[in-house]
Amino acid sequence: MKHTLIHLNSSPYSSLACKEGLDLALVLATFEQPVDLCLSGAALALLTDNQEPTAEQGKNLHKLLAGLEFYDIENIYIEKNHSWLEDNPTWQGVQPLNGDEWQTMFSQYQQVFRF
Amino acid sequence: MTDNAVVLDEEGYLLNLQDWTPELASQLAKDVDVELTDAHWEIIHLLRDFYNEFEVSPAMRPLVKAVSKKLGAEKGRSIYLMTLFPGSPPKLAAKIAGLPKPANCL
Repeated sequence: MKHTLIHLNSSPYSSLACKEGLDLALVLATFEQPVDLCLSGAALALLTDNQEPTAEQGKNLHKLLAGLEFYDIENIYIEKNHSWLEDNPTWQGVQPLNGDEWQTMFSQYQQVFRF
Repeated sequence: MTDNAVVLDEEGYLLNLQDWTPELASQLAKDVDVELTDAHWEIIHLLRDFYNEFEVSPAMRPLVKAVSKKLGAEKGRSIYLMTLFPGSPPKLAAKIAGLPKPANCL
């Protein structure tokens, strides 16, 4: 069974990339494939509270984070000490990794998809 | 048949989620030969709460987990949901609850 990492690196609402990454995670999890998530760059905005996307921007993707537990998606990583994190409220379900752990993480999966 | 003013997609799901009412749910259920009981309503309300909270219609596994968490392990079983919503509980229950088809259901 392949263990998959989905790396979200795109702004949540400027394109469909983030949503597509999350959709893939849900599909894999639905079919009992182990899947973890990691967020970096513009995708970190997904973690902030009180998001109000317009109808054109689509669903409030932040809301889905709390529902991932029902899909047995329990590991959601971010890089510790990221300057963005110091200035913004962050969803508490993430696991911060230091630089070395972050780099090592990518080699621990059979497949990595980046969105 | 459902009210002509309510628009369904080609698979029978509500196009406008705001159109949903309990009366419409009863009609949608009748259209698929399901007679709603309190047990059905319990799942329908849970499903609508799940969608409002997470903005996603759950597939079978997350639905079972959500039911188990909210209503107890006795009801959080596939067989229980199958008796209420035969065939594909996540799809049929979402249809009656006025929610989108679970995107990750085959």
